[in-house]
Parts: sequence; C-alpha cells; structure tokens
Amino acid sequence: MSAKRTSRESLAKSATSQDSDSQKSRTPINLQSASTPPTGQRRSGSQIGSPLLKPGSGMSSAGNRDKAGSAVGKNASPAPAAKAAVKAEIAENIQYLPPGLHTIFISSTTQQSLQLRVDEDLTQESNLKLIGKDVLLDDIQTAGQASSFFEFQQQIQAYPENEIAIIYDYDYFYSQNFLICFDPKLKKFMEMPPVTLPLDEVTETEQYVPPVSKPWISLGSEKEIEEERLVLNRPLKRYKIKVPSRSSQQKPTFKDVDPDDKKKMFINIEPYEDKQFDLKKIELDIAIQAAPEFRENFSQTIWKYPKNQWTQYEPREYSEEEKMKYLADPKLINVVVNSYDLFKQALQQNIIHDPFYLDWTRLGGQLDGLGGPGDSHLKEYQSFTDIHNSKDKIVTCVQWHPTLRGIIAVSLAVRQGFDERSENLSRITTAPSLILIWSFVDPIQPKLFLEAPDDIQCFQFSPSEPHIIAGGCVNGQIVMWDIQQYEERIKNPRGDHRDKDLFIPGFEDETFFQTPHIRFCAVSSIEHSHAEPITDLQWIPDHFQITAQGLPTENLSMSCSQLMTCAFDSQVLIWETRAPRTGVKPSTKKEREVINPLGVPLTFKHLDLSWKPLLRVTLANAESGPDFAPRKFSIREQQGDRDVLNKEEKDLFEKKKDNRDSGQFVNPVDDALSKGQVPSKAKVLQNVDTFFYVGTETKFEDYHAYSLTAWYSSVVDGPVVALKRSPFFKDIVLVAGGWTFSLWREKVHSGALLHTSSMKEKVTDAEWSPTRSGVFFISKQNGSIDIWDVVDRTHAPSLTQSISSSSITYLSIKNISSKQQLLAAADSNGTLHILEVPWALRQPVNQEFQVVTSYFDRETERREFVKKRWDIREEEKREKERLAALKAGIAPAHNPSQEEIDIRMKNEYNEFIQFEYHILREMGLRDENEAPPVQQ
Amino acid sequence: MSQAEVEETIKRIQTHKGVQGFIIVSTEGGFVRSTIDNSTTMSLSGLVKPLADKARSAIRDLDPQNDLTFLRIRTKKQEILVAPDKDYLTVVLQATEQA
Repeated sequence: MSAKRTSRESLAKSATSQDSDSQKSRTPINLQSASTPPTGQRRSGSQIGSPLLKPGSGMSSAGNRDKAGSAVGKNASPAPAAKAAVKAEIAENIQYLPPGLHTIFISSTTQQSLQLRVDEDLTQESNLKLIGKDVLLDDIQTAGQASSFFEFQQQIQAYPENEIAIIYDYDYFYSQNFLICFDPKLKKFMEMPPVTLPLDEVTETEQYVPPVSKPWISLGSEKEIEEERLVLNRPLKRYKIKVPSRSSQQKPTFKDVDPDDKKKMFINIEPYEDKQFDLKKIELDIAIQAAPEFRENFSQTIWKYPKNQWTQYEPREYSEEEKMKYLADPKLINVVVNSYDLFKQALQQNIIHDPFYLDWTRLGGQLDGLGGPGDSHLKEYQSFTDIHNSKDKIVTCVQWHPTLRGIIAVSLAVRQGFDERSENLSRITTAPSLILIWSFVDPIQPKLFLEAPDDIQCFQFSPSEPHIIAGGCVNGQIVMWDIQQYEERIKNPRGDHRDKDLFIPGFEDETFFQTPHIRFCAVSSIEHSHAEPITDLQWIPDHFQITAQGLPTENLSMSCSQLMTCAFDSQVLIWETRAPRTGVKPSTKKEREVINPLGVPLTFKHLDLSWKPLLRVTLANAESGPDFAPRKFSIREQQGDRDVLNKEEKDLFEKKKDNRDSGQFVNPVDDALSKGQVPSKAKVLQNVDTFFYVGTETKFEDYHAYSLTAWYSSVVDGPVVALKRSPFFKDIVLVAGGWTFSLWREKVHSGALLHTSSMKEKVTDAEWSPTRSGVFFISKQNGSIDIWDVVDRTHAPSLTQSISSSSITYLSIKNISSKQQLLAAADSNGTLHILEVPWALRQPVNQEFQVVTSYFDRETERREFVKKRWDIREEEKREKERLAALKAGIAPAHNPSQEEIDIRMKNEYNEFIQFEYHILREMGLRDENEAPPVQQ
Repeated sequence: MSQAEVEETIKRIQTHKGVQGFIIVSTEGGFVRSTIDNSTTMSLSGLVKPLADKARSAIRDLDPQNDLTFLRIRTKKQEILVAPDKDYLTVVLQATEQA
C-alpha cells in the first residue's frame, strides 16, 4: 500500500512541478501498474521535494492528501471542506492526462451489463478491462443519450481496433471513476507495460565510490595524546635475582645392598608375555602384478623379385680321338682287366643265388593292403529301390547296359502266384508293368520307365544296338522298346531332375524333371506268340543267324536281329526283328503322325501286333509222357565271340565287307534265305553248334535246333532256374534248380562233372564270374549268396554271405573296370543290391585257367571211367546172376553156346505146341487123328 | 696288355646272364667306352661317378687306410655294379630276375 501511495505522490508531484515530457509519459504507467516499485531516490526526492507541493495543494503532507483521496474514492468524505479542496485538485489533474485518454463515468447498471463492476470485476490492482467496440456501440444504441459512452460515440466508431481499453480510476484521481483509452499505442502499452525500472536501482546500488580522505583539522585532541605519552629520560636498569638450590650442591652417596636382604630395597620387575598383545599373523594379502615388457622391433627383409632364367647345357663328351687315346691308356686296360674278376664274382653270385630275393614279396602276388586278398567278402556298393514302383513287386530280371557304364535295368512283376494272377486277370490294373532303368549317379529316381503291356519275365538289351530292348511278357508276347531318343538322358551324369540351371526361374518345364515313361514300340502277335509266360529270352549273337530251315548261317549285317525265347508251352521260338523284304512300304511323315499318337519310335512298326516267329521248336517228348516246360535255355555261341567266323571264313567275310562298302546292297535276310542260289555269299556255318540246352521244370535237355530231343536227363530236383555257360569254357554248363546245382560238360552225358548235395535252401539263380574261371555265384531263397571256387574246394561253397532278408531272384555280374566288378542281386522285395566283388574273387590266381581246365578234364575222365565201370559192373552183375542160377541148378553148368540155346528154345517151343494141341483136342476143337505138329 | 684285351674282357662280361651294358668312365666324368645307347650312358656316368666318389670318401673317412673296391646298387629292375679305381670307373648293368 505504501508503494502505491508513493506512486500517487510522485504523480501528484509531477502534476504540480510540471515535469518533463518523459515524466508525463510515465504517469499512466504508474496509474495502472501497481507492481512498479518506486525507487528510493524518488521516494527521498518526493520527501525532500514535499515542501514544493505546499503552494499548489495546500496540504501539509502527502499522507494527508492520500487520506483525503481515499475518502473521496469511497464517497465517504468526513470533511466537506477537504472534499472541495480535493475536487479542485482533481479537476486540475485532468489536464495532465495524455492525449487519447478520457475520463468517463460509468453507472453501476452499465458496469453490471459490461461486467465492469467496481471491486468485483475490476480492482485497484487489476484496473484494466478490454471491452468490445460493438458492445459499446450497442450500449449507445440502447441507452441513447443516457449511455455513459454517448459523448465518445464518434471516437468509438473511429477507433481502429476491435477492443477498447477501459481503466478503472480507483481513487477518482482524474475526477471520474473510469478512463477510456482511444489510442491503440497507449492501449498496447498498458497491456504489456515495460518493466525497466528495477534495472535503474540495480545499477545505482552497485556503483562503488572510493572514500576520499579529508584533510585533518586539529581540534585539540593531539594535545591530550601528547600528555598521555611516556618518554624515557634515563637508561633502564637491569637486575638478576637467583634463588640458591640445595640439592644441586649435595653429592649422591651409593652403597652396596644385598639382594637377599630382608628389607626389600628394590623392586624386581619380571618380564612377562602380555596376552593382550599376542597377535599372530595368519593371513597376508599380497598382490603382484606382472607387467609385460613392451618392446618394439623392426626388421627389414630383402625382396628378391622372381626372374625367369634358363640354362642350357650339354654333357661333356670325349671326341673319338680322345676316346682312342684313353682306351690305349695302359692304366685303363689294367683297370678293366682287373675289374673283371670282381664283376664276374658279382654277376655269377646274382645268377647262382640272389641274396636279395624276398620270398614274402613273391607270395600271393601284389598285396594291396586293405581290401587285398585277405578281404574276400562282397561289399554293398549301392542299392536301388523305387518308392512308388518297387512296392510289393519282385524283380524278375536284371540287365546291365552293354555299353554305358553304371546303367542297369530292372524288370518288376507283381508278386502273385499263378492262381492269384488268373483271379486278377479280369481286373484292370492302373499301374503299368515297368522296367526301371537306373543310373549309379542317382539312386533315388530311375532314369527311365519302360512300359509293358504285361509283367515282364525276362528282357535283354540288344548287344549290338544297346538302345533296343526286347522283353518277354507273362502273357507270352514279345515286347520291343527303342530308347534311342533318351540315350542322352541316360548318359547325363547329373540327375536330370536337379538340373534346374537349364531353365529360367518360373519357366521350368515340369515334365522335364519327371522320369519319362516310354511305351513299347512293338509287341508280337498274340496268336503266334507263346501261350504261356515267357521264361527266357536271348538275342542270338550277331555273327550268325538261323534260317527258317534251322540252319545257322553267317550274319552279314553283323548286328543282332534275332531273338530266341522259350516258354512254358514247351516251345522255343526264334524271331526275326528285321522287316521282311516284301514289308510294308515306308509310310509318309503324315501317316506316321497319324498312326503314331503316342510318340513311339517307329523302329519296329512293321512288327507291331503282326510279328510271327521265324522258327518254332516244339519240345515234344520222345517217349509218351508229360510235355516239357522249358524254363531256361543256353546256346553255345556267345556275343562277341567270332571264333567260328575267324576259323572258317575270315577271308570270305572280309570280301563281303568290301562288297558292301562298294555300295552293293545286300539284304542279309535274302542272302540267308536264298543261300542255295548264292552259296558264296552266305555260307552255312558248319562250326556253329546248333545244339542248345533247355532247362525245364524237371529235366535238362540237349536239343538240336529244328530237331528232336537229342538227349535229356533229370539232373536237379526242381525246376531249372539257371542254365549258364562258363565264359571261359564254352562246353561247361552250370545248371541250377531245386535245391542243387551241377556242372555239366557238353557231350558228356553220363553224369555231371560236379554235383552238389541238396542244400537247405532253394537255389534261385546262378552266375559265373567273368574273370575267374573257377568261381561262380549261387543265390538262394533265404537271401544269401554262395560263392563257389573250384580251385579252393568243390565240396562246399568257399563263402556264404547274406545279402537280403528276402529271397534273391536274379543275379547279374558286370566287369566295370580292371579294378571293379559289380554283382547285381535283385530280391523279391523289388530292391536291387549292387555288390562289389572283392579282389580275391575278381583277380584270377596264378594259373587258374590251367588249374580249372585240368580239373574239368579230370572230372571228364572220371565220368568216362565211371561209364566204363558201369559197363564192367553190368557185365559183372550178369555174370553174378548167371553164377547164382548155376548154383541153383537151373542153368547148365557150362556156358551154353548159341546152338545149344537154339535147341533148347526149340524144345521149349515144341513142348508148348504139344501142350496146346492136347488142350484143343480135349475141347474137341481138333481132330484126334491129326498128328501133333512138331517142328523139327 | 693291349686294347684287344679290353674288348675281350667286355665280351666276356657280356656273356653273363642278364648283363645289359658295360661302361668305362674317366675321372672327369665322361665316358670312354660304352656298349649301350649314348643318352643312358651319359646320365648314368654323370650320376654314378659322384655316387661312387661319395661312397669312397665315406669309406675313407671311416678308416683312412681302407678303400672302396666295389659298389653294388640293387634296384627293382636292375643291379648297377660299379668297380671304382683311381683313374677310371667301370660300370656293369645287370637285369634283376623279374618275378
């Protein structure tokens, strides 16, 4: 409050003293800004300057005036005289209002409507209120002349801004209760008053005025000080006073005292250990830090850049003259002659006895470390099984691709017996019968599927054209495939279905990754085929062919074209794959497309469904008995064995080759058929043995082509399952069937060279080793393989190894390389096991061939001997019987001669005639007078 | 002692079984007389000579009074017989009996 008062005082003072313009501009601030603190200077100034007010106001002090002012504001003036005086003063104040500010009286009703109620909306401290222009004009409109703002109507309308500031004059300093402002600048100033005054005070208080010394003025005090001062007028005196000490003068007297004296003249302080300070050092913390020594080292290496350099040199050689000179040197002659004895000794020593001969190294050939001769077990190399197609199927046949390495074909058949099969005959099976062609690089997915009309029992790649495959069906038909266009796919070492790089992503040909199914391209005519399942099929070797007359002739085309098959219907058929001369005309391309909707190669189009066998051999039994059901057959000639040709007509063959080269077209079939007319072109091969062996259900027979059974014998105790010729001995045949197997030699019909006793398990297949003449493999029904080595022993297999849990159905061996031989063993679960033949069973032992040859010769001799013995035994038996009869007295004691026998027989006959005559006479059929006919 | 005797000796050596060749090498390392082809002789004389020298030095180091008289090198294919002397070296090749 006091601050406020002082501001009013200053206002009053400025009003009276007619201050400068700047002071005038301050006044409104003081008016409305209560927070503005007055400066001390001003206060003192106003206090000091208060006498100046006296002439104008007539008031003794500012305090009085304030009191009067406040009394006026409250309309409660205690003294009328004072009020009048105040009024006069207020009227004066108006003239100091800045331009744009006008005093205005606002009635209490208007205050209420405009919310300008004194002491409610507006107080002494917050005395500013902004009223909208339109509000004021409305007020003028409604109240007319009675409106407080009527007189300012013009100014209000002219006012540029929207709101007009109304200031509450708390103590009627400017004669009215409100002030209205028509100056926008002033209004802004009032809204945001600058706060600058406190800064002034700060600057003044901080001013440091150094004190200024004033000249000293004497007022008599120096005299008083002078009087108090002490001044020495003589030198000071010094005294030394000392008190005499008695003890210092007395001399100490010492005497000896007995330590054992009763009077304790001394105190003995014994040393003792104070437990209180007995501390033991138990633990000690010690830390050691090792700091590595830091060193810097430098070394500089010399870099030598590589350089190419050449040196050419020539060994020193003596010229002829020099040599002659040296040779003439007696020293040299001496050396040579002297060294002779040494050399002789050494050389002869080497010849007589080689000291470096190691018996061990000569033993058993090369020792290849592990996997050498010691390891003689078959090792599983790979196994193939197709998840979808091998299920519940048995493998009927396995064939290696004749030329491509690591390609093997497997035929699958439904695991059904005859009854099941005939039951299911009417049902249409959706899954086609397949031959799977596998590659060693991909054991998951077969390379090709060959589709067949029915289950394939046996098949074979054509030896000369490996893309042609012939198969024999269960229904008796022959099926042909041509996989020429897929050869690339087979050869491709990478798995095709992984070969994604070939395609742009998103453009993959799905069919490319699938294994293609290949349809057969020809099938034989049903009427002319076998009536029973085909059990064996073979291509006739390319060096000869069989004519319709059953004569073997030379094959001029040198390619396999004939097939030989056998089936249960006791027939062996020979088929010709080439088109007959008067065959179908070559069809045009258009026709081909029409008749070839499945994209089947047209290689054997001429054969399809009309194919007839070239030759039919019926295995009729010579005696009346059941027909033979052939299961396997074996012919002597083998593929690639051209001995027959070479021996007989090598020259002729060469000539014919020349003929063909010169462009003369020779149809080999024609040649063969018309050999009678042109004997020089295709000669009957006399050396070709046309006998073939047929293994039947129970028998083993020797047949001549197109003739009757030459010989037969029951050799095994069950159906023949394998009939294999040794690759080394063309006349040695391995016959397996039932529970036994035996080795036979051609033309030795008295018995087998080797015949095993019955085994515990049924034999399922047999296979010769292609490299060891004395080794063959026998597979058995329990899934094991017996390995026989006639060099090792002949009474038992040299090794038995279990391969599969199910029965092994087929064996096939292939010599992959000189270091690898693989045996394919298929089982009845549709799995094909590829086994690696160990070194010992692959590598022929020393002179094996000779050993085996001599073994077979020995056995043959034995057979001959046995035969001879049979004759002898027969003779002996007869003799024995005769002797026995003699002893009984039936026969004459002597050997009857032919004459005697005749006489005896004649007598017997006469006796019979007489006997007959008597009977007839008794019956009355003969005349009694008739003499009995007696032959003389 | 004449040149004919040298030839006679060579002939006699060659009559032995398995003898493939006979070479006389001089101290300098060059060959003086050979019964086999030039290149083989060249490489053989160039390699066998230092070997024989080394062998001799080894023997001498072991016992200074000892000396190398004969060297037989047994190989898989042949035996190399070396008779070293002060001035000349004679080499005979003999095939070892093959299994």
